[in-house]
Amino acid sequence: MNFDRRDFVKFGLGLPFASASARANGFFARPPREPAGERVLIILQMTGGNDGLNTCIPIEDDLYHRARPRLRIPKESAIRLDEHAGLHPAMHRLAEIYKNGEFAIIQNVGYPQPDRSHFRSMEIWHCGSTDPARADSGWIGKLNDSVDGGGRGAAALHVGSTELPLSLVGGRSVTPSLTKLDRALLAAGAAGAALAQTASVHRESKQSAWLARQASAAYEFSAKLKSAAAAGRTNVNYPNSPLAKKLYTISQLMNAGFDARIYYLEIDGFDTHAGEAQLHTLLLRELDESVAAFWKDIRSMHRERGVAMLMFSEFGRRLRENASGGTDHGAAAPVFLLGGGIRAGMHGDPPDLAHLDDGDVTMKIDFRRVYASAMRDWLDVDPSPVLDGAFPSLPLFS
Amino acid sequence: MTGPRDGGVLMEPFVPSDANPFDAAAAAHLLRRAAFGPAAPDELQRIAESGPAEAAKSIVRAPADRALEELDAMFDAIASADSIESLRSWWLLRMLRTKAPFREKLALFFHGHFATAHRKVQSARAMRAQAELFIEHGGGGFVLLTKQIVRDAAMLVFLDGAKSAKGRPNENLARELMELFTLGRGNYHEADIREAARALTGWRVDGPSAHFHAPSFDAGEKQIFGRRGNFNDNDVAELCVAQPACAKFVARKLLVFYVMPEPQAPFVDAFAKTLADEGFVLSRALELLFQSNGFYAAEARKCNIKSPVEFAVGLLRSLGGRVSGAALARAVAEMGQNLFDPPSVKGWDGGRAWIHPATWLARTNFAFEALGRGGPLEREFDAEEFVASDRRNANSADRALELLLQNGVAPDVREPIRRLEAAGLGGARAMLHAVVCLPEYHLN
Repeated sequence: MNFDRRDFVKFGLGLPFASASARANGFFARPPREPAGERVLIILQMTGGNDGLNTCIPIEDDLYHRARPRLRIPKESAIRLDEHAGLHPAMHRLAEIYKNGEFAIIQNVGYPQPDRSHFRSMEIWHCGSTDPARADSGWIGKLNDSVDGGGRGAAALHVGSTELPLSLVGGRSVTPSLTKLDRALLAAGAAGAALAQTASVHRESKQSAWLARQASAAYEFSAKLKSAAAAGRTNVNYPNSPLAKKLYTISQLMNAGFDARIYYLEIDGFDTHAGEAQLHTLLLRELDESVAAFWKDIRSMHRERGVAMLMFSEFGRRLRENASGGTDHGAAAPVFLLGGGIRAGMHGDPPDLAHLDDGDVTMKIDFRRVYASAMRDWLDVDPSPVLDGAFPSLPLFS
Repeated sequence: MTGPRDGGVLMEPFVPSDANPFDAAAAAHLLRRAAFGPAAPDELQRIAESGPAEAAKSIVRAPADRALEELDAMFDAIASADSIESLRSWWLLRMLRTKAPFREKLALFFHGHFATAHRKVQSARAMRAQAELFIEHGGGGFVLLTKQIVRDAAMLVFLDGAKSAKGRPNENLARELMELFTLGRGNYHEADIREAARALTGWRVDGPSAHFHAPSFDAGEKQIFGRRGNFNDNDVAELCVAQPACAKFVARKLLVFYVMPEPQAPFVDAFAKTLADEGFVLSRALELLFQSNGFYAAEARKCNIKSPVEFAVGLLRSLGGRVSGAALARAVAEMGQNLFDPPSVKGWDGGRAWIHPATWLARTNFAFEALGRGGPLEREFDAEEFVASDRRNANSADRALELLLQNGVAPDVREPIRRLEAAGLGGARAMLHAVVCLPEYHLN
């Protein structure tokens, strides 16, 4: 098989999972601070449009309580965070982590001229651009393209059984995806070597050349996973939820020394047009239990200063509840950040419910500033090839 | 043929010539796109001999396969459990066995177009009724299908139509009807959605069926696309399909599914005209597409990445042999296509989104199991016998490449595969595995 020997040398040593040329190009030019070379960014996508107003609740704002006679979370039920905001009662574990200084809330995040279509809005978040002409690849894909020779290994990993999210699609780079470790090992018997050999043959057709590149990356990925699967177990008990299973897989990989810099996973179901009270509680509970278990695990590995998790949704939801006991598509919403090396607490003002954008929370912080901060201040990479414009950092990382 | 860009010519009948013959490769192209690929060498030969028009006609007009009723009855007998696993198995086995694969393929298109997910609907019977609507009526009129889908039980649950009522309309169904089912973004206003949502009220879902509940219907006047009336759901479907944007929107989606990932505007316009001229009757429009210059153009060949269902069903149809439907359903899910549970109302993105290292490994590992005996797929297949059954060609690796790929591959690719065959015991399985794991095999 056509492995790059350098990848094997790096693997298991806790060094970045990218080619030597990538390092020379600057992706890893500055050694990460703590612990060296092991800083990891996890992106948790809350698919469907999370109701930010019922997650980080403006408990002191009468406009909130009046607009949601049925769905409002009363002041006394919410977990108070400061003089304005309370967390949804299902999130008591994350509230604890917030109080321990390892959880941040960034208020009113969105983009100009909000689009209420799931697909367009998610596309904007995925591509890190509001320009439809830049919707062919995702922000992490572009990041990989800018640092990688293209197609040789990946700095990112998608954990989930869904299609690869657009955010990870690159023009040249390949991001693998998996749910369970043992399902991604090549079963080929005698044909194994022939598979790799036939995939490595040069091809004229664009589509078959592209497929062949994916196939080669897959065979390489399988070989790397074989080593990771052999190592790594944890003592922390995870809840029995789909999200927890994915986070457990990430923990196993990290524990085994798998050196992806970015992990990407999703929790779906936030499109709460109807019956939101019950549905949203279940979702936030799954989020709270799973992320808290994962965080306990990360702490037990003493990796908490090297791991940050960013949680976002494509949009928030309308202030006014609808007649089906739900809420319709909205605009700006809070983004959440978990980590031992972050500036915890509340970033930005509470949502200004007196000045709405067509019924929805108005954007105050462009989401690309959040991305730029994560790239510049956490991953130590230059965000300029990824984002179309200058986006100054927010003070999110310590 | 590189094909002129003039849209009119693209939809004109393809006339074979010495330079562009209607050969085995062309016949296989048609069978892969309109159906699930050639099932046996004689099918390929029969299609190639009949010429483009007759070939398209025989595939598109194949009568519903009555033999499948046995399968339906079997499903009915066990469906009391309302099991989605059985339903997935039912549909895949239909695709494997049918003599009218065009219908199942078109139903697969509509399953991605009017995408509805069981995880929210929570009724396998309602999902089955929807699939049967696509299989029975997919080739009929698109207007009728749209009318049926906005009062389809599974759809009403999936997009909250069942919760929408007079005085408290829910916009979800109306929005997706315009954005994803008929018109596309930019071809309607928010006000059209709000008004259409009122017109779509009045439907209630009870188990697997929907019924009209007059008191919940908003019978008042609505204004949609500038027209006023006391519109109901049927009117909304008609109004949407009558919008000029609809033919192009549907034509483009059909071309992406059946012909190429990025059809040029002239092709879309020409096919949209065909679609409109044929009164949105899909079987008629597709029969014309399947004998057109645009369909057989060089740039339309081998350019679509097979979906997991196309790959798995196509492979099993050409290999033959027993397979467990339930295990097959799990396998295609692992490759990224969990039937009856598309990732969103937008369906599957398809194309390159199908492929990443894990889904590629799921494909190679499925193929390995499919070429063996027993295993999770409960296969009854003998690779040695499959290879031995045809000795007309001296070299069975070459024969397998011809049978499964219909065209020459580069010598650099051919050589390692020939060597596998020579390796002795288990050589046939390894050789066939290497053939179906070639990137070229995953292109339609």
